[in-house]
Amino acid sequence: MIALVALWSCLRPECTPADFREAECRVQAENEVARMRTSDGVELRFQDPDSDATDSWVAKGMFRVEDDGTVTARVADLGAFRMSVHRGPSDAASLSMVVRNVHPAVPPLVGEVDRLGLARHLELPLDAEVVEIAGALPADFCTRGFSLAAVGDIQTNPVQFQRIVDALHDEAAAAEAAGKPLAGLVLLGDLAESSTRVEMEAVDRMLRNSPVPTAVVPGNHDIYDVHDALFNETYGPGNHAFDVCSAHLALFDTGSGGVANSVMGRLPELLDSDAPFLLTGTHHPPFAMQATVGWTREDQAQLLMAELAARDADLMLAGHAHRRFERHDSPVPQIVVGTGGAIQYAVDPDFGYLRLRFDDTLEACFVPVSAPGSLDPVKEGDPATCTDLP
Amino acid sequence: MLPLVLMSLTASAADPPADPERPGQQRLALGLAGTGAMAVGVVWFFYAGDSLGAGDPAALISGAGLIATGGALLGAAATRIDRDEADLEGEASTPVFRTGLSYGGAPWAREKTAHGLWVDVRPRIPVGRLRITPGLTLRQQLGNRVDVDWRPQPDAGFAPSLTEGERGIDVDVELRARVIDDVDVIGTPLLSTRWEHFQYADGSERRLQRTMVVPLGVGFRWRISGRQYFESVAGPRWDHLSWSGDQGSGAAPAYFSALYLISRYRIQFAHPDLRGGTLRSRLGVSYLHSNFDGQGYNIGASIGFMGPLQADWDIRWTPPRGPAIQAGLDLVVGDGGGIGFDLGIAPRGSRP
Repeated sequence: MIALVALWSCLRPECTPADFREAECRVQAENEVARMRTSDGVELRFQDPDSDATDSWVAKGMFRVEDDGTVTARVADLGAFRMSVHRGPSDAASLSMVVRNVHPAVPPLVGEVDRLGLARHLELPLDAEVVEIAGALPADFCTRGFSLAAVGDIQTNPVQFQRIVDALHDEAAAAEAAGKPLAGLVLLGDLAESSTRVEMEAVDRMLRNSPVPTAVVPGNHDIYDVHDALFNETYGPGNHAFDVCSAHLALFDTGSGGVANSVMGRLPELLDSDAPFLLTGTHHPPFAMQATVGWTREDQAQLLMAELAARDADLMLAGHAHRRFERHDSPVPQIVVGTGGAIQYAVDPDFGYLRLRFDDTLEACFVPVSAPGSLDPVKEGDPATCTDLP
Repeated sequence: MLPLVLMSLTASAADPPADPERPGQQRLALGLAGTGAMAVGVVWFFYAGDSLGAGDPAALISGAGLIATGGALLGAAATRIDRDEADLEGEASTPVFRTGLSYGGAPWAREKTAHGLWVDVRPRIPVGRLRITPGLTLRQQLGNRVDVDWRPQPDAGFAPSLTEGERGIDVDVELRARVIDDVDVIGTPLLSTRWEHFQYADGSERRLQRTMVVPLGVGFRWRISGRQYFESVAGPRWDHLSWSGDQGSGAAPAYFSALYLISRYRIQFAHPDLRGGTLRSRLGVSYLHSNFDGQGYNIGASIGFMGPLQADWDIRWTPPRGPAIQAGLDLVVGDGGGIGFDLGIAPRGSRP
């Protein structure tokens, strides 16, 4: 019996049949959705913005065709992005598409005809075999520093998360006034409670009201549909790394309690950067402590921490626990900020987001966004706690 | 350690304790206590776990309760097979010397899994009312595990992404003494270290030493009947990491980690004599509240909270002369779990 099972397995590639609760299968999904052929036969591919190659593609976004036939591309990273459009055998002269999740400060893209919030509408002339679309924050965007926001765990209260998205508009204005513009939001997983498409898309719609783009990782509540990679179909990759201004962010899909082994094998590629600041974003905190909010693959969490410590990483961001706390006795400082709306049974809800301000140093402040009727309401925009990270 | 092993193999068993009275009532009490613990754990988990960071004790209590309840039910079912619950001579227990193989699983195409070999030495030293059992386990992964890059891009090429080797050592000392008729108090300090070697997709390498220390593991063994017992040991845990490799070497200060617990329920069975010797078997179910070896029991969205569930079955033959021989099957239910096989020797009539 064991021999039969062994034979059945070792003849098959992993994820055939697919089980998208498995991290490795979501790696395949996040790469598949980063490339698409339209009904005209035009092929779209996400590319590495630091490269000029177009012969392959990378998991840095997600393409899909909307119900009305519009081709949309969702950019997964904050900062720079690049796509290639391959005309192939198609005789199409142009491609109409929408590029979503793009920072308003990014200059107009090639073929851009309209901008609506974080979406750019393109009428792209296909006047060459391969046409590229590239965008980046302007060179002077973060000369005096910049800001990021981070939060995780929406789950049972997307209405509260909508309040946080609203508060980000004030945050963006304040950051701009302080000379450290808000470059994006890092959303640390558990967008859904029950891993349904309806929940995923509801949060995606809310994020379209955000003043800045969002980089997302999935949580354990986002990945337990066996047959559909719903997170990847909605947001693109859960494992991706990018530079934004002076920071390098490496985000990992820990929804299954660990990272896909193939992604662990790419840790140097995902962590290495010349950027002065190195941060990670995961749903499960690598530094678990006593809270059992840790990884099933504790060995992987410890390997990740060792790799980060070896690179003098600045901060590990995580969610999963529906509260905020900081640890500075970990191999790398860790801040958990699972305060995006998910239920906090035993306390007056402590909702809000983390503000990260970068210049020569990194300052992390928790900014409360009180629930309606909170017993201890706070003045919105005032940080409750601030920490200077070495 | 070797003299202690030889002493253990030639030692005679201590006088057996009197069998517990009314085992059915004891099982009922254990089952009710276990159910209560599970209820407390679940309520604690859902009403305080996420927000107050109390998930660890909640999951630990739930796991211990699950084994108490499940063990009591299993124990009651076992008495349907054999109503005699009297103490058995030559019953199966942890051998003094044991070696085993853990099956590494079937590899996917293009990948390699690695099986594990381990050797365990566990002599017994009775000192008055106290029984001391030092244990040493050496672990060696047989070959490297190789995972490939499953990205569908042609240039990714399903090339090796992560190559991983591991060896390890576990050291513990069980101190056990009877305090009342059917209850032993247990103290078990333990230390586990894993030396891991990784080669990444870009060819760079990392060596990692992970250590877990549980210096204050305390618990109890509740003898339900002459053939069944429930045991639980828990304690705070500290971890330490050190690393070396292409990106440099370093170490992190030891840190207070998740709580540790092992809870188990074990049942002895008598079998017809074989070749003039006694034949006994033991069934055990246990819950280990530790993800140190990357194994845990996940279900639905409950991911990362629980350690693995385990089951083991051992069969011991005690020949007319010489030490007993014992073989075992082990099953770990959880992510990264699997099956294992072991073979060991034990002194005649040694008590579990």
